[in-house]
Amino acid sequence: MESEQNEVTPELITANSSYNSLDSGIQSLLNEETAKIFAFLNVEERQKIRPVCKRWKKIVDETFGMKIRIKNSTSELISMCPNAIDVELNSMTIPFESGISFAQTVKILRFTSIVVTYNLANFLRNCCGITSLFFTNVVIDQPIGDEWSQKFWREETVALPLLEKLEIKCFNFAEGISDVTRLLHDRFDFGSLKEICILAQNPPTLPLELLFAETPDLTNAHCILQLLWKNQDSLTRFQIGRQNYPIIMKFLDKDKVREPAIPLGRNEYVAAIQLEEFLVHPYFREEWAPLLRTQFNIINLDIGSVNVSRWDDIRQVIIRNSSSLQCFTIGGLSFGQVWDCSVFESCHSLTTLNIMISHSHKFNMHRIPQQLLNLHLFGPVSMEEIMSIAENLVNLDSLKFSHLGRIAIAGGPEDERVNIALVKALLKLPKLRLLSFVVCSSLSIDWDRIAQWCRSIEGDDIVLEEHFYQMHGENCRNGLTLKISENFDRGGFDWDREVTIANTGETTEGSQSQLAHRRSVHFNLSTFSFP
Amino acid sequence: MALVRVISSDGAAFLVSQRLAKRSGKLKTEIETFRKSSDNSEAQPEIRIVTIRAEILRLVLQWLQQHQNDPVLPANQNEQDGRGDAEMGQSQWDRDFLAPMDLGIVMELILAANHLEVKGLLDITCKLVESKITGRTVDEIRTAFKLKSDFKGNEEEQTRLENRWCVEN
Repeated sequence: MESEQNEVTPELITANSSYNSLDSGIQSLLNEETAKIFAFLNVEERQKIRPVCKRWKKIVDETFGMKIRIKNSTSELISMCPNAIDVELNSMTIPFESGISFAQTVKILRFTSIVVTYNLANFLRNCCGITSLFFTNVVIDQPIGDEWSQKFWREETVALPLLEKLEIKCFNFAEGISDVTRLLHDRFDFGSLKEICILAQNPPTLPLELLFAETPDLTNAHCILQLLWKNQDSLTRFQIGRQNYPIIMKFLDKDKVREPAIPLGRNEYVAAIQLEEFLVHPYFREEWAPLLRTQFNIINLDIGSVNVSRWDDIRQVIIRNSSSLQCFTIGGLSFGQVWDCSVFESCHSLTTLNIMISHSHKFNMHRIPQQLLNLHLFGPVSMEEIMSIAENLVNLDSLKFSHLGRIAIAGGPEDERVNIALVKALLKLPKLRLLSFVVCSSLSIDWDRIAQWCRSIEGDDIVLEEHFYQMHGENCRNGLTLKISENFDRGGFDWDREVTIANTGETTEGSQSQLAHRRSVHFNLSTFSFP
Repeated sequence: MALVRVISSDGAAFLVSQRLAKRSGKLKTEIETFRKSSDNSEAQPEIRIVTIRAEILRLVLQWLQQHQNDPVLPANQNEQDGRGDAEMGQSQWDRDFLAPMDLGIVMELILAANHLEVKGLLDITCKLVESKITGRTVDEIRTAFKLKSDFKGNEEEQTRLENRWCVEN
């Protein structure tokens, strides 16, 4: 090591080693380098330094775009910022006037906590270059009876050909969202609107299925649906709901739509709008079911929490979209009904599968196609099924179990629980990088032994995280996560290394005995019990 | 060990291992170009950096040497205030390294780090300058960086007005 150190030391052959600073200030940096420094500043600090000198102002404005927030002030300010790119009009109380200075440059326009009046359309008519439009807690002051305001309201539509993103946020739905969407639908024409995002504390429940009807008729539908329908050619994404879990729809490019490979069944037809992604939060509504019968190109489907009575519909969706489906999530509560995984058999693109149904046994794991990378199972899974995961899903990258619940039959043998042998079998999956059991009680997992064994194998290539919850001031174990590095050598690992465990004479089982043991576990659904 | 001669703008030559030099994006390309154009694979490459003087080049190489083995930063350096620094990848060594420098040297280091494509050094030096800007008023910044306002007439006043939203809070 010592010699290595010496060899790499920069050897000074000739140099004058004085430590003098040339007088090169910040002005000696190129604009690009100065911008790198400014990138470390936060937005407000970056704005603050604009008055330092012309060059700094230019760098800030050109590299980061000039952002202004006009807050509770008079209209004179609107005429003072001729280069603003990102403008927020906040808490204004006066009607907007035309002749705004940033109309030519503004790209992002935000209306926040504001009562906009009937001349909003005229105001926006001047800002024809905007690409994003945000309304946050905006109330529209509807035209009143006088002729002047009526005149503005009736004027011809305004074109915003470059607008790509529209976001409407409102604390309370009834207050503003409807009005804003109605105005945007009635008075504006968008040529390239790609994204609509509507977030509210009390989001409306939309009859989404209307958009997917064989011959959609939206004349009397909610104006949000009308707005969607009007812009369906350019739209790629629609979000609606609460901020942290909205419903997300991603529309498939019209040229990418593939016709269904199998003949259409009864009530099935290909809707004009084909979804690429459909994420339903928090739960799937019964009346949306017809929508699912019209979709044949879904890549990512998160059906949210769904009633057991709709499981048949969901199975049909999986089969209909089996050639494109890559990611599937289902949640909800069942009452002992069984989820049959053989439905995924023909999904040859499926890489991520989350079955989050509590109180429901899942079976036929061995029929899940082998290319699966991520699997998350919520609720009870029998040992036998877990074993078939270990035997079949050889490409798994991450495997998570949560709320494994009580899979042991009351009074049955103790090793009905997940045991060391099973954990070992899972760890032997050649590509597995993450194995996690979360919120699983000791009824379903032999925690003591497994945790001890996992601690003993922890090292450079395996990282162990243990999860506890507090009960009566004591830490109770309810989970653990193993992160396995890609360097982990499964072939060379000593799987049979014994761990001394107090009070149990148990030695680790070999795979042979495990196999024999497996056959002895017969999972009988009729005796399946729930806590 | 394969070595490379790196020569500064004022003619000082540094003999460094190629492994170390290759941690700079610029030197790496230069060494590879040299390899391709040279018939003798044993020949020692010589790279002339015309924009960086010896004093600064020495500092860059010194920094590279200190950080030659860390793809990630050593996080355990100091427990008490390590968190903010850890994000920036700035160790105690880095702080001691930067502490005696005046802004002029730091500016030259930024130039050098940018030119030689040494990301880590560029980050810590930029961060240092950033810390001299954050929380100061415009006038203080002007004094610190020896800058003069070059706005004409009411231009400066107007720029300040445009900033009202962030300054008045």
